[in-house]
Amino acid sequence: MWQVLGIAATDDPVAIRRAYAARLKALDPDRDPEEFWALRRAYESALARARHSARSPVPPPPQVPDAESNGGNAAENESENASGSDGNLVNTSELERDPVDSAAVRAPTETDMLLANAQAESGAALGRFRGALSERDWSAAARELVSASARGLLPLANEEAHAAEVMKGAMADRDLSAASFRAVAQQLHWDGPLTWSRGAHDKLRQQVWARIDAENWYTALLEQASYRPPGGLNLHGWLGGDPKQIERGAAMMVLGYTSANNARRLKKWLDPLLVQAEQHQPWLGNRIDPCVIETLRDRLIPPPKAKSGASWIWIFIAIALLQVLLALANKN
Amino acid sequence: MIIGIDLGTTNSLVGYWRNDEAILIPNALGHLLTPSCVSLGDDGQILVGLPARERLASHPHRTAAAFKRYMGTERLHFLGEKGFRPEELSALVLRSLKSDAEASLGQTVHEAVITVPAYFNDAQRKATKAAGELAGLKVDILLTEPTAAALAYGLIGGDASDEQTLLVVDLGGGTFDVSVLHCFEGVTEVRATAGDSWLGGEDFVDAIVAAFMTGPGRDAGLPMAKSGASVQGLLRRQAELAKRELSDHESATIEVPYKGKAISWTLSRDTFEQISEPLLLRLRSPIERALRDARVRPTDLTRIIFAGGATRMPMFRRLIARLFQRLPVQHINPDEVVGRGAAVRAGMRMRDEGLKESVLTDVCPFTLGIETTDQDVRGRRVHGLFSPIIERNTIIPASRSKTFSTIDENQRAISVRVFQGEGRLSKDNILLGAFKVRVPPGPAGKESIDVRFTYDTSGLLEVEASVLSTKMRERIVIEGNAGVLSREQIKERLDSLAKLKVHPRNQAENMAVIARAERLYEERLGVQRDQIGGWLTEFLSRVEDQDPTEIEHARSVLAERLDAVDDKFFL
Repeated sequence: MWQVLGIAATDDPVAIRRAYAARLKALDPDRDPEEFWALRRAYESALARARHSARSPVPPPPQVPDAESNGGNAAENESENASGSDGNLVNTSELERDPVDSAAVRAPTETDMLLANAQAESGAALGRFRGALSERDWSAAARELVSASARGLLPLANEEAHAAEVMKGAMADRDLSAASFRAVAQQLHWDGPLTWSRGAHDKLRQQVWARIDAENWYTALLEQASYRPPGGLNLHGWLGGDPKQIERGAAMMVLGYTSANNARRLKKWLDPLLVQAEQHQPWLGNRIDPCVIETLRDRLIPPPKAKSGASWIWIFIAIALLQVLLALANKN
Repeated sequence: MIIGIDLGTTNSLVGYWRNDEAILIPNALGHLLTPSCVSLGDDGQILVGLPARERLASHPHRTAAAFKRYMGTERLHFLGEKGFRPEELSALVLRSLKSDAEASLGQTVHEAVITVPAYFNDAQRKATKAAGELAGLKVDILLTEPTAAALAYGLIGGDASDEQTLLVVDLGGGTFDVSVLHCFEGVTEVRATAGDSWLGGEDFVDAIVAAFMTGPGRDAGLPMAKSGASVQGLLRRQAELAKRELSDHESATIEVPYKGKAISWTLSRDTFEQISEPLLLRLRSPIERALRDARVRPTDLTRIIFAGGATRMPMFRRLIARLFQRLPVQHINPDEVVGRGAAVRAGMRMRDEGLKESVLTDVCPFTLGIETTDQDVRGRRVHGLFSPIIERNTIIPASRSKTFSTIDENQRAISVRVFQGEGRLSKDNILLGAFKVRVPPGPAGKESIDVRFTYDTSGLLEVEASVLSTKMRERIVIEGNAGVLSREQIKERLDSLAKLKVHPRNQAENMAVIARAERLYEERLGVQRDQIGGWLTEFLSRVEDQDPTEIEHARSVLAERLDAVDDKFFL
């Protein structure tokens, strides 16, 4: 690896970088990819070695630092960070230090304007957010959170944790209507798969999707049931947990008020429905009674009628045969 | 000569490198920015640039804009009766830029470096290359926009000891890109890029339009957006103007003529910020992920660079400034920064002496891999898993391989389905292409293939599968998926584009002023409208006379008159 880089073994990252840069300039990655890969491998392993032997803390991998950690471990980080552990205040001297920056700033007042009051505003926004949470007004909490994030009042990577708090609250709140639950999830962009998710709240996210799925399914079901009760049964009533309706429906099936054909159709229609209902059960607990599903399951055992139907045919054939035999006997 | 082109969603630019400097080339109207708009004139000729944009409001059915958003798809834009693919429309813009460059350089141009958003996927990049080809340009290098921005700031090369970690935030007309760059010893390394190819300045305009339509527009009974009705075109323009005005003022007024009356609505900066909150929220995650992938903390960044016109919005600047506790560098006009960077790269491509000391390495923005089937602990098959081969933010050119084996007894072939994306399941990712490799029959797991992905510096992917036992090889260059034109198709389109009549360059100024007058005629009401109509008739009769000096005089008179009534002109 040192051969490829063309230097003696070293732990000095600057020397490694310099060697890599010199080699890289001598070749054209577009034309000699193989050579480039060899160089790149050597460079990366040399750097890794240097880092390892220096025992300098590797930059924290999957965690984007938030403002709180700013003041903390700045071991291998030259850019002095004087803004202190609260990290929310502006360090204007930083702008003066950088000649390009200060030339670029249209007027120094703009910095002040953009960064002014950030701390006070962020405190107020967080206060309103907490207030909404404690009042269990999830929608208002989501609104506060979105607005605070959009205005840069939350440090990077912090809003997901806050959003998780809102969603947790909303999940636990069984009185929340389907539409408002969906709206809250939508506001926080938690209603669909998010490729950016850090995986920290994946489980909660999946639960949110499951609940949204359940709500969507239930809404569609009610719509379907309201205009076409299959087999003459009031499905709306059943799923609403109205015991009278269930008994009536079940009785109709058992007593054969519905024809065998109808019952079969109904079963075909209800079977997957019941599976789905069971699947969504945890989220629709207060709307679909688990007992209802059990009752339906029991009553949906196919009625033993098909057999008897078949034996009637045999009896009929037997009678017909008898008559034929009688007729033959009469002739004789 | 190699030129650098910034093919933007809203505006495009062209430039070149000479005497250690990136020089942008003005178009026939003398502007550096050429709106990425194409319109079919009433005489059947094609208009490109500003005249086309002016016709966006007056002739929405014959004009196309923001087609970059549909690059890599088969969506057709109709100009009158004729449907155009996004590549073709882009090619028309590129052709116009090419002729501007040729007029200014006095020589023919054959090759160009074109910029693409870092977060453009394979199909979108291929489409951009195809557009270049359709415009008669060889495009060997596609440069990502954030890298171009860093190049423009001259942060590459320069003082060799100056080690820098940069964050480039590029909010353009239609795309949002974030890149973390590491510069040392004249080498610029892209450490990570992330972005959203569906988030840009146009979305903020959409937000204003939507707010207008649900508020004052609905009250006045304004018809909803239906196939680009003229009123909608005017409203969009007004919204765009309001967005710009709100960068400098606390409020802006939108006035849309409807049924002989003007619907007026005053939008305050606060309201604008409020309706834009969902969009601003979407900016955060890509920034977060780019930093995380690059293993860089916000405090490690030495500089933040802004590119793209939409970064002028105060709310955007405030968001970034607060997140990073400082103000970004922006002494180059954010509209031009990417174009300038493209010119620098074009110079590097020509191996110009002044730039020899700088090298650039980039990363691939997405994870690339193939679909696999696996068995879980109970021996059940799990289908449709995504198995990454090149992980996102791997330095390119890259070449990686993985070995896969058969899963069935006497399996005759292994099908290799190539996907791009970050999802665990292949169905959540984008299918780039597929092919089959024949394997000799045998017990399950005996035969295996080696799948090698090679990703080159302009982001094009080549997949090769070789059977270990037979040494048989099968390879594809990922091409020919739905949104990408095949070689024959490009040829065919090239012929049909050649037949299109484009307005000659020397008439561009006339066309621009006519289109502007037509737009103003539709926008205004009452006396002013009649006045503009009169002026236009007068000018058109001068054009008929075909006396160049007369026309020029008449044009400047008309332009002055229009300036007087239309102070909200923008580029």
